[in-house]
This record gives sequence, C-alpha cells and structure tokens, in this order.
Amino acid sequence: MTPSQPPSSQYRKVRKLTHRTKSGEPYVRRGDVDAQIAKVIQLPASKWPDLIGEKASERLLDEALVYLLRESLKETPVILGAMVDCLSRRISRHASRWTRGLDQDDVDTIVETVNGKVLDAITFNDPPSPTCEFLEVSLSHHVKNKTLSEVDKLKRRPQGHRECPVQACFEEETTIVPTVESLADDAPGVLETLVDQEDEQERRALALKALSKITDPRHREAVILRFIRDWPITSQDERKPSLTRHFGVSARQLQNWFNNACDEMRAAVGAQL
Amino acid sequence: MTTRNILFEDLLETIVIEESEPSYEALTRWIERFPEHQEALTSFFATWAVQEELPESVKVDEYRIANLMVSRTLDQLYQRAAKKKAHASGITLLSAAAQFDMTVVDLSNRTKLLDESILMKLNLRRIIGNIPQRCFELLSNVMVLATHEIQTLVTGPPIANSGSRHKSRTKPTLTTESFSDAVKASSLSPELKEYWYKEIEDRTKSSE
Repeated sequence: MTPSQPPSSQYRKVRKLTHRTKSGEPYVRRGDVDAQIAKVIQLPASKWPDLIGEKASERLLDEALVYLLRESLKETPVILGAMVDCLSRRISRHASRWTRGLDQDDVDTIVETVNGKVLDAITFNDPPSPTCEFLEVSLSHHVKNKTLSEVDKLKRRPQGHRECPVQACFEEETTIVPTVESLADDAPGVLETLVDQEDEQERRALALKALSKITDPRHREAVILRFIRDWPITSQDERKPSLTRHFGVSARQLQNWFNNACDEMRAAVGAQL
Repeated sequence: MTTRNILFEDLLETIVIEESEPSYEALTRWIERFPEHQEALTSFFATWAVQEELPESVKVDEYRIANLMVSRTLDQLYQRAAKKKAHASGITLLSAAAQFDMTVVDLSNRTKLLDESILMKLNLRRIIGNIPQRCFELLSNVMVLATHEIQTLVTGPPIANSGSRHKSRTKPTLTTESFSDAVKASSLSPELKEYWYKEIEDRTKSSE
C-alpha cells in the first residue's frame, strides 16, 4: 500500500467519531486503524478494491474497512460492492466463532442475520448511529455481541435449537491424549478430572471431547455452567443466578442431568483409556 | 425494536468489551448494576459460556453470504434512492397510473380487491403502518411496476388534497389512518373486508 503523496491542498483528513460510551468517554479508533485509514484515503476510491484483493501487500484492518465502506456509499456500485463483499466475509468469520454447537441451517441463518444487521448499521444511517461508529472502534466485539444475542434468542425459542453436531468434528481429532485414570471412576470423577487437569491444553482437549459427547444441549449447558463456570445449583439470594432458576428445574432434576451427562462423557472418553 | 431492547443491546456492547470471559462473578456484578435485566443477562452469560467451551462444528459458506449481502445492500440503496426521488418529485399513485391511461375507477376494477376510497387514500399517502404486501402486488400487476416502486408511491409524508381550500388561520393537519380502518370505512363487501383483515393479521404475525 504505497499511495503517491498528494498535493497538500488535497490531503484528506480522517473523519472523527462523534459518539460517546455509556461512561461518557468518546469513541476512539485504535492508533493503527487511524494510521491505516489516513494512508488509504489519500488514494482515489477506484483503487480501494485493489487493497482488499488477494494480491494486496498489506491486510486492511477490519475497522479501516468499515470506514472505507462508509465512504464508498457515494461511490460506484463496483467499489461499494467490493467493500461489502470483503466486509461481509470478515463478519462471517467473526460470527462463526460464536455459533458453535448449532446445526448448519441455524448457523447460516444467524450469520446472515448478523451480516444484515451490521451492514444495515453502516449503510443506512444518516447521521451515523452509535453502533455505526462503534464498528470503527471494534468490529469483532460488535459481531460477537450480536451473534451471541442471536444464539441466545434461538435457544429461548419454544423449539430450541436442533440436535447439536459437535461430535462430528471430533471424529477426525487425533491430538487428544487422555491419560487420566479417574475417568473410569464414578460420574462426578469425570467432571472433577476435567477441572483439575494441570496441563491446560490437555485439560481443554479432554473437556471439549467429553462435552461434545453430551447429546442434550441443556445437559451440556448445565455441565459447563456448574463445573467450568462455578454457578451454584441453588441460591437463596434472588439476585444471584443459580442453575435451578436459570433452567426452571429442581436440584434433583439437575442431578439427573449431570448423571446422564457424565454417563455419556464416560462412555465416550473413558472408553479410550 | 423497543427502547428497552436498544438499551439492553447497548449494555451488551459494553459487557463484551469490558469482560474477557463470562465468569459467574462478572455476571453477578452486572446484575447488581442492572437488576432490571437480570433474566436477559443470565441467559446471555450462559450462552456465552457455552460458546467459549465448544469446538467449531460447521463451516460457513462466507462467499455465498457475501454475494447475498452485496446484492441486498445494493438493492436497498437503490430503493432508498428511488424513494427519495419519488418523494422529491411528488409522483403519486394516480399520476403514475395516468401514465398507463388508467383512472382510479380502472384501478379499482382491475384489482377487484380495492375500492376507490382505499385507492384515493393510498394516492394521498393517508394510510400509515402495515399495508399488506398483497396490496402492493395487486397494484404492481395492474400497473406493470415493481412492488417496491408501488410501495414508494404510496408511503411517505401525507399529501394535501390539491383541490381543497382552507379558511383556518392555522395549518391544517392531514388525517391518516391504518389500512384496517381504511378497509372498514370502504365500500368493499364483507367477504373482501374479511380477506384484508386476514392479510393484515398474517403480516402482523410475520413481522413479529
């Protein structure tokens, strides 16, 4: 990316952000984003699509791309289309990180929805909304937030999400080294082993493999919240979340879920020992 | 989207930036600050926690989605520009129909499901809110215009009747009504009215 030096009279300045955070701090782009934008906007807009192609010498940062897309709204459909195409692929990559455990149809629907919402925030705001400007501060955080919200909505739908296919990706997994004898012990032993593993990488691999074998998504969620995130099963304090309140089931029912989950995990992971 | 939703979405934006992981301690801290969002926050943190622990399971066809987004964005921008143009030029439904040598009576006869009173109200953009897609499709078929072009003609700021005279010193307010009320006040048969009520209901359900 080597823009020829324009005459000083034609030097284009980077547009400032106008909105503030909830705590009153002004939105500020990262320094590297600002520097890249300042360099790129000196080029004519017709050259921008070259900066996002595979032959581009330097990767355009996500937030700089959002800036250029906003600027491209006044340009030809070719330039605008190239910018939307590139940004959409980046959004899809960020979003797919937060749609795990869902089936292909749900993932596609959520990624499309998030893409639409983000692009709408950029292209249909005059004057720009806080969201529109925030995308120039951190695209990945906004996409993460939007995607998790969509997954959460899906989870709360009456039919919930469909059978989770996470097992499939482990069929080809060969790097897991299960060396823990206690996996053959009683049910809680499986979970404690996962939590107590000293080798972080090994613990994670083992936990992922075991969790992927739980067939009911609600059981899997309960196991994660209880044994990885330390949620209490019950709580007298109504302001403190608990598993019984979150799932709307009794402590006894939860224990059954854990037992079922542990059986499935032990059957899958323990069998390999 | 309600104000409550917007505020909660703002809140999530802040949480996702400030919290590196969905810990229970972080959740209780946010609930203390925003007790009115307790349930939604709990659900959000639970979803986040699950997502942190699972492996990537399916691949997204990012090229297909990108193609879809490009055409969607360009189409929306085109429609937006067309809408602005139509509003600026003052073209109305009946003036567009006149270009096809059709009067309001012709439109009513050809669509069969819309009477003159509804068409006059659509012409002056006096019907606001949810207008059934079927209405645009009927007019689109008769006038050989795209449905979004019809939509552009009949939506926007209400237009004053060109022949009316106002003696009041204050500026007259242009009355508007819902499609449902326009159907109720029309001369359509009870069966046709019932048909439109069903269309409105379906549209409301699908937009929820």
